[in-house]
Amino acid sequence: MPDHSHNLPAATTRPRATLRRALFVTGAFALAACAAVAVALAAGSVPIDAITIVRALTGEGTDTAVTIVRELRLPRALAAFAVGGLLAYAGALLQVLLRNPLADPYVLGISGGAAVAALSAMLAGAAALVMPAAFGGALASTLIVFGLARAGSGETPWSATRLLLTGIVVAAGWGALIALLLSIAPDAQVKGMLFWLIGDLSTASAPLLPWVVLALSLVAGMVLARDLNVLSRGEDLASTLGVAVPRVTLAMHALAALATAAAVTVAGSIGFVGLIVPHAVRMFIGNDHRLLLPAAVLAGGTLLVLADTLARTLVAPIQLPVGVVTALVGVPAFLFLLTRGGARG
Amino acid sequence: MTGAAPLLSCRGLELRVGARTLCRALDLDVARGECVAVIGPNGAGKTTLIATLAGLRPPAAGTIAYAGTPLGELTPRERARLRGWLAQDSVDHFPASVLETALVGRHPHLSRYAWESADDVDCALAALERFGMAAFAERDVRTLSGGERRRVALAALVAQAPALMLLDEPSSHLDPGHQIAAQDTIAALARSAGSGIVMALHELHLAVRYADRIVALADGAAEVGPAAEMLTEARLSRLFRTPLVAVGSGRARTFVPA
Repeated sequence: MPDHSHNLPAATTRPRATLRRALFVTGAFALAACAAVAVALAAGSVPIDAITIVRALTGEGTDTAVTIVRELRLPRALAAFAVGGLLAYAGALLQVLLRNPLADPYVLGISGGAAVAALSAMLAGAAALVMPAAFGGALASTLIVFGLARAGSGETPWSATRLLLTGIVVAAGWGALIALLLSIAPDAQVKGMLFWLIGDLSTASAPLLPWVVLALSLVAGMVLARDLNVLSRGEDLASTLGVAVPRVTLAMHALAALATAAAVTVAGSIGFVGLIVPHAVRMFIGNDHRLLLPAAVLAGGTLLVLADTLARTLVAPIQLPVGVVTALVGVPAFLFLLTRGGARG
Repeated sequence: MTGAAPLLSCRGLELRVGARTLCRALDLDVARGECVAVIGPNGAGKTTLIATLAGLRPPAAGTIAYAGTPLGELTPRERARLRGWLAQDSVDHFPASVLETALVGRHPHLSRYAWESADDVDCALAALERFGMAAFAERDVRTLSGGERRRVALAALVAQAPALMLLDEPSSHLDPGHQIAAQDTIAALARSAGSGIVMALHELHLAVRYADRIVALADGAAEVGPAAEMLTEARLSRLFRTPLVAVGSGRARTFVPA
């Protein structure tokens, strides 16, 4: 084979992952996340300055300020952060599992299943059931895709490609059911359903569930982080390097499904965050998951907090669904990174 | 596990892919310092045999043991410290430096929460140096040529430091100079560390030069014998179903179509 490498630009890589570098990177991303939350608390129909925010957070100051900061903006910003973190986390895991940088949390039909269940609950007028239905739909869809991918594969173990293909086809099926539900829904309900489909945080108020899921899944991800590094080089190689591949991949699928289900339940199906955030973070800090997982969670949270702040202030008093903003901002930003990153991407 | 047990020992091994039987009743022991080459025509099952010996797929029948312990009684991590496997081809899905790629070989030697130490880095760099790739340590593997990537994969295997090396066409993508350099490096390591090698080979001149014994796979049967007896015009012509004649002499002997 002729040696053609020297015709390529010298693509040197970033420094090797060490504990020191991991702490530094995580710290930098955490600072950005705090700044984003501060912006989210300050911005809105009633701008609030930094000192008032700090006082309001500790329960001092005027009742209005305390109410706006503590009861309206803070829960929403925390919900946005958790949802963004969960989506980026699920995307990072699935990209390794499918060894495909195009994989995202919805690729296995997860959001489609959640959407069909949630929209059905809306159509039936059972508002209280929308969240549990979305959660159940997301997990059920994952199980269906796995069952189908495994059932058809005979004696050979199912491959990443087979799983991806099954997920895409099942997602297309969910898409048809979603279109059916939208076309038979009364006009008055269609807008609410559309907002849910695009992804919307205006009704998000209880960030406890997504935060608990986020914390637990991040801890589990960190336990597996070096296994993930090896797995991203292929399942057979990982297996001969001592990774218990069946157990680890099963855990990763379960964690990704759970994280996505929690995110979809809170905010509907917000696209794009789970696809671009892990990919963009990987461009900057490399593919070591001991750095990548926490950084992607922080970056995903930061992105969604900022996007949601834009969504509620851009054309105020009208509130946009945050999914519109993530796509409008995300698409050009990602394309810019991709062209600029070149050989590194 | 005892020091006296062969590094690899298989008994009554039967390989099947779908309805096709690739070999049956294969008995093979690989001792310390020994090099076994697996040869045979395309599709005979060389890759399947190497993967099965590596524990990547279950045999249709028979048993495999590493250093006297049956495969089923070893955890993935214990196996990884005993045997290494080199895939026929590797694909780089994500960005990684050459050093990071070689460091992956240290995975089975590190506890779950440990970071790679300076010793691990030295070990990976030394392995890269053996294959002439240390100068590329900071390069992204995806910018390398096929032959350079092959040498990085070999370095990762050497960094893993297994007693038993199972290699699927170790010198594919390599030019003649690097073929010999890479094989010499592996053979020297095997001699000095007492490792054993089983490798699937296409180039017969490499089998002549490096193999102590040969496993010849063809038509659902496996024959095992000393290299001197197995690498003859008559046997190889039958194995590859095409008339072959020997050219060259000594270590530089090979077989070409008549």
